[in-house]
Amino acid sequence: MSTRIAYTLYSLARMIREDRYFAAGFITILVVIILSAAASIISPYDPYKIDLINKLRGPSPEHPMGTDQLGRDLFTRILYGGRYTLFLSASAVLLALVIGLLVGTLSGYYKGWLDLIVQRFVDILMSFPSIILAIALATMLGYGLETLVIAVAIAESPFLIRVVRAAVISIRDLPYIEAVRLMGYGDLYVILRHVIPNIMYVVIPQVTLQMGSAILIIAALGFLGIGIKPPTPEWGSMLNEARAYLMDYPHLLIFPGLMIFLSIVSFNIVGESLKMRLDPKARSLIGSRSRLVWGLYRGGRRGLDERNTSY
Amino acid sequence: MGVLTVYIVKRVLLVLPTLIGVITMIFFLVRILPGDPTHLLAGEQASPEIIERLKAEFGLDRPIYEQYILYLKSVLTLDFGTSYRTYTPVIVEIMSRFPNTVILALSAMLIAIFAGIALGIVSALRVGSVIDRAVIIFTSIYVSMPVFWLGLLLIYFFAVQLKILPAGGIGSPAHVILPSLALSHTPLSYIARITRESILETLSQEHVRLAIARGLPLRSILINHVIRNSLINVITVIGYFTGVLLGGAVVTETVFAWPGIGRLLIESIAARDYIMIQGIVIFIAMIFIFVNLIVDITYRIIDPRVRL
Repeated sequence: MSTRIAYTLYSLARMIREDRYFAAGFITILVVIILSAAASIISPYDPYKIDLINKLRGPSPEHPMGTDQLGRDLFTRILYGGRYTLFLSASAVLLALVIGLLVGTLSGYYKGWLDLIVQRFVDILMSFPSIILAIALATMLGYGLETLVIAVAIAESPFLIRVVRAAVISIRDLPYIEAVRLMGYGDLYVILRHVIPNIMYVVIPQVTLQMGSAILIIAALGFLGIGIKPPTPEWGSMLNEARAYLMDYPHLLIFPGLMIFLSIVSFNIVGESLKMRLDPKARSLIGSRSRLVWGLYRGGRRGLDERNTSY
Repeated sequence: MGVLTVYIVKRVLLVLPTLIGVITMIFFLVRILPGDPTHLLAGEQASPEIIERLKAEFGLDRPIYEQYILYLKSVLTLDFGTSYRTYTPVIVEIMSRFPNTVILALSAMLIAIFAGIALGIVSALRVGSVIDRAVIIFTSIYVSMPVFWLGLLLIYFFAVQLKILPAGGIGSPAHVILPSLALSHTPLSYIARITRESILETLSQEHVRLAIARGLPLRSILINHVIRNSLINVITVIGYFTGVLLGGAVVTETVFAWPGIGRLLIESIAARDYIMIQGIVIFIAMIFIFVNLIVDITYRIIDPRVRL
């Protein structure tokens, strides 16, 4: 196990050294996560404390990003906001991953009627633009952090189910899997020990890309007033609050948006680079010429998904 | 029957189960929720007679399978019930807003198609150059812009600072410019990339090499053999995004106070008008399914190799 971790770290270091795009994205994500986690150490301010005397100040040495309409330090709120936006997105993607692995593997491994039912169900979920699905679920399940995570996870899951299923189908009848089955091992063992580890090269990049999409949906829901509500600092809802002060205080608009944008771009770049590196099909099809292109192209019409669309 | 007819019939028949599935999902979603669905539909403070009327309207006193059949029947005939906020039928409200959504979606697609294809062609024909790199970097970044941030930035620069375009609302052709610019950013990026990739792919094909070897003028090779063949891929993407944009540009419409169905959805959520929400969500799914159907059939006509 420890050699495996060492190898992963080694590969990571090599990718950072060899791939400028990956390095930039990866380091940005790392910095944002560390800053959010260490929010209470970095900033002396309370993200909720109202200070009306100092409201709507521009950036200054005491307040590097200025203060908002209630005099709260914007930089502090952005740091704390990262906790909400990133943590909720990560939880949603994790849940979507569990759903995707479970449903996708069963559907692809056993095929037959189960597969047929699952695929029709995925069709139904994909009949909604994913933001609409998330909005509908979040509204109907009621407000709350858990329901928000569940809604976004369900909206994200059809893509993962499809990807996992396709990968499982592509390897389920290969000789080495067949051999393990013939040795008398049960399906559960085959799936856990041989199928799932061998589809990770597709799943890991997809999950990273899905992170970008989840951040976008969480922030969009916050912006629309359906997700996290003020005074909780969340990047999307902070932007919503900033709308009223757009005319005279653009700093309220620039910083939260920039954070959402940077996080999404970084996860997308890291996802695309991972895909180039891990997926032999992606590499041979496009070649090194246009490394970032593959994710947008995906060799065909049905590969087109909506992971980056907010509308 | 021709092969094409068989394909179309099969594809249309596939739509029905999906559509019924969507309606079923919404039906049960509303009913598995804790509490009486009538309270959910009419709101917490609904008076007893409203509850009674609702119960009669939805047949909630009847067994669940009867309710389901009733619901399916009325929704399939586009009867989504009556809003308890405005006292008008949901479909009437939707139809009064839908033209605005169509206008916005079509103008956004126009921008995306022209700018996207132009960028894609320029970048593919100068592959590896500074322009090509610039297009790649621009589209990667542009596609990741959250539309609400892009929209607010556009408002700030063009409406607040330069004061040359209206910040929101509806009324003149100028009102369409900013929202459609914001809405076009994703399809534009995808169209540019796919145009570029498929031109590069076509350029490496035998028939193009042959044309070059025969010494045909480069201009006519590009126009007749390369670009025309490459655009087949682009058409699917265009169709797909038209469907998505028609399915409610919720965020864009909210940013620019554009009175389409996306904004109607958000207003209804704010007012807890669940009948309206249900209706709009199903309507959006219907539009989405329908446009995908059209796209698939069109693609099959253009490229007969496609199988179901």
